Amino acid sequence: MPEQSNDYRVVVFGAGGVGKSSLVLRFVKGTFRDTYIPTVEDTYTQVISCDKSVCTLQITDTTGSHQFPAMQRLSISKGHAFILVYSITSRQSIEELKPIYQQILAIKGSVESIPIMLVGNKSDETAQREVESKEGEAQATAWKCAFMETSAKTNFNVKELFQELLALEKKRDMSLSIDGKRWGKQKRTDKLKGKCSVM
Amino acid sequence: MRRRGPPLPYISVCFPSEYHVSGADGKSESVANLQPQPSLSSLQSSSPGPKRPGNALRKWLSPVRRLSQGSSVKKPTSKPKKPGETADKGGPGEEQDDEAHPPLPPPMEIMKDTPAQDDKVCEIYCQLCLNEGFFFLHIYNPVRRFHHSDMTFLLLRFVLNELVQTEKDYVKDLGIVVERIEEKGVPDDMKGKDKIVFGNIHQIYDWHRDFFVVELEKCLEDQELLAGLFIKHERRLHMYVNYCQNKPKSEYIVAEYDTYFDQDIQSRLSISDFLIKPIQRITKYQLLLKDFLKYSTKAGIDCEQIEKAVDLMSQVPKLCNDMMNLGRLQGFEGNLINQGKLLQQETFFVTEQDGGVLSRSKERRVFLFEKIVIFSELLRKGSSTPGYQFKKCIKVFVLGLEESADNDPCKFVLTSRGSSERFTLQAANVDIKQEWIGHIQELLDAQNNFLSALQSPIDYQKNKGESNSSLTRKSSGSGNRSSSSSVGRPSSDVGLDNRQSVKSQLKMSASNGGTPYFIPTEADGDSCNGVSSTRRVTQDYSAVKENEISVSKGETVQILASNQQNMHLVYRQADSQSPAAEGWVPGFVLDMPTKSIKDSSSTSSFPTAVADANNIK
Repeated sequence: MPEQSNDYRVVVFGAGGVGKSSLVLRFVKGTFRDTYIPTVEDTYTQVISCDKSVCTLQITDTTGSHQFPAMQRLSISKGHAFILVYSITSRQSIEELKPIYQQILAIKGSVESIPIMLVGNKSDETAQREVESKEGEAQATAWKCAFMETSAKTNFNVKELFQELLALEKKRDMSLSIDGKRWGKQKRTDKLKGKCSVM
Repeated sequence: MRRRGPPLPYISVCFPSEYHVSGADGKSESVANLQPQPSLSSLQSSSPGPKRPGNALRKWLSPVRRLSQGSSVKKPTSKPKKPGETADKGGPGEEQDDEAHPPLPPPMEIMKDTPAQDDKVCEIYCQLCLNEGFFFLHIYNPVRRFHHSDMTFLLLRFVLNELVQTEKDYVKDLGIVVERIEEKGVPDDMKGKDKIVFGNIHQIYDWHRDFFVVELEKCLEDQELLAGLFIKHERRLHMYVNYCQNKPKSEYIVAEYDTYFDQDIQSRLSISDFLIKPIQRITKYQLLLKDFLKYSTKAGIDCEQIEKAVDLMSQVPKLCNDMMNLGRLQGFEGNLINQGKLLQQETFFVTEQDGGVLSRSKERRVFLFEKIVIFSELLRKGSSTPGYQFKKCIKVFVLGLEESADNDPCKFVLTSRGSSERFTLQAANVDIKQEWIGHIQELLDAQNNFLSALQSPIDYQKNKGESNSSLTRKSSGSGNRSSSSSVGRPSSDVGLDNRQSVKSQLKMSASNGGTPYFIPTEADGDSCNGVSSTRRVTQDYSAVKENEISVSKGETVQILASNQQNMHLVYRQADSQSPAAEGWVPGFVLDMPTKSIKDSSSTSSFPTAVADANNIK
């Protein structure tokens, strides 16, 4: 099985324009672009701590593949954790996540032990909001996954998103850290047990 | 709010840049946040014309420039973004810095027309400036300075630049894996499976490295080349179909060997991460081209070609996707890769009749390839991961079509010559039926043309010759001997792309254009209606690349095309040992082309080929 490796693969899904790349860029590079967002950046890597040693956090941006389910299949089967992004300004974008969720379910068999985070991005654009937080939460409950609203633009909840996602992984003890420097305020022991759900 | 400081004194870049910034004002408390950007000064005061020096552009547009951490990171977000606001204030909030700078030029006319659009453009520019290091922005109020065509031009450059940069990265990544495989070799116990694992990645790598990235870079100089480049080489990109189709299988195998390669590959990515890159890459061209189309439209550029390129580049990953699904076609013995392009797939209710026995109507997924029609049962209906169970097939060269059945406008019949099998297909609606009939008829027509061309090439060419420009051109190039063997061995006039030459060859013989490539089925090798040449193999050759074939000493092959690297696309007929094959071999394994084979040889060999083909079935 492709599951066991020294990598931890996070796959980011979402319709076009919901801010997948922006979220990932914000997280990985700390920058945000409002206009020209590079479309093509497949895989970002980051060294994180895992089971008291280091492993590579790989973030795969699936931009471009969303009309091609068979190709997405490959990303899903390789992925350990998933971020499903919609934009709070587009009801359509949360609808488009449904087949992706179904596909994850079909490929992984069950989502019980798979960290999945439903993310409502663009939380700063309140004036254009179409999807209420409650609706996102309800969808997450139905999907037995975690939920968060984020804004890549204002850097709201971005780091937290990845922290929480890693905390959802029960099979390994993981936390974000770069060159020994801890991200986030909690100590690693906090992440060991307990703080595993945002719900 | 802390503002980004003014530019460092030596940055003398502006845009349009008849105004140079020299001398800093006193408000440089936040300059410390900024890295000096000497490379900016390489962007000399050129106006935004279409001929920028590529190097400067690359630095200029480099996406890697990172804003320093701290307050400046938040700058973009703190800038006013709302359309209208920008326009009303006449700038993105930094105009109070202006007093220290040279006087502003007069406002540009764009403020008069379509303000919303222009505001957006200004906003875009603001962002570009901030993110890409255009620190002069706040000195020269962009709202008054820029015409939106400059802006769309800039965005077009960004897309092009991204396309080229990512292509280079892609080639580099492919290179890492290909060179690693070559250097290290495959693990002993993987031998035999390596073809499955690596597929045609070598072929993909070679092509991108030697050809495509080079051509893409030329587009930086002349962006009008871009659409044509994709259109021209669309067929070549079908090698990705081959690669993708293989991928689901290879995933499992490669996982077993991940650590073997992991130890060596320097990057943090594992071998399987590299092996998935072609699949990721082939979905990106359409995205980038869509952006290119979007900005081209804005810029008022004629977009017909670009639209076509977008369409083609959307079809390729679609086809990859379809073929990956078909990778789960169970029970089909043949190799789908050899069945030509997948033209159509649809669900029909199919009634089979074989020798008087009429089956009841069953739901079937039917796939129409250039060379075969496949009937399959859909497994896991409604799932996004369908599977198919192979049921029946008809090779196109024995395919018969009856356009109506049972007086039902949605039904048509497919038959298989030489057998009593009849398949009545009931489509969900008339449109689907018409589309299928159209496609099938096209295939059959092409095939008939091809047959008549083979049987009486001279008559055929008399009829077709004048209407076929590619034939006319080639013929005149070889002294107007339209049926001489030299036409079958195009040499110096063959372009870089092998496929193109083959395509024109087949077009020449099979129909008067518009023919799908490789229509003729197992008789492919007899193409070129009597103009193909036959050569003898003088030494054994084992295929080293995906598109090559192995040949043995003494065999006779027909040359379908040649390229400047002295490689020849050859067809070898089936014999008792091996099936018919088509692929490339190097010229040194063939005897000298001293004798031309008479027309009659290839025409007369046709019945043999058909007979062989029938036997294969």
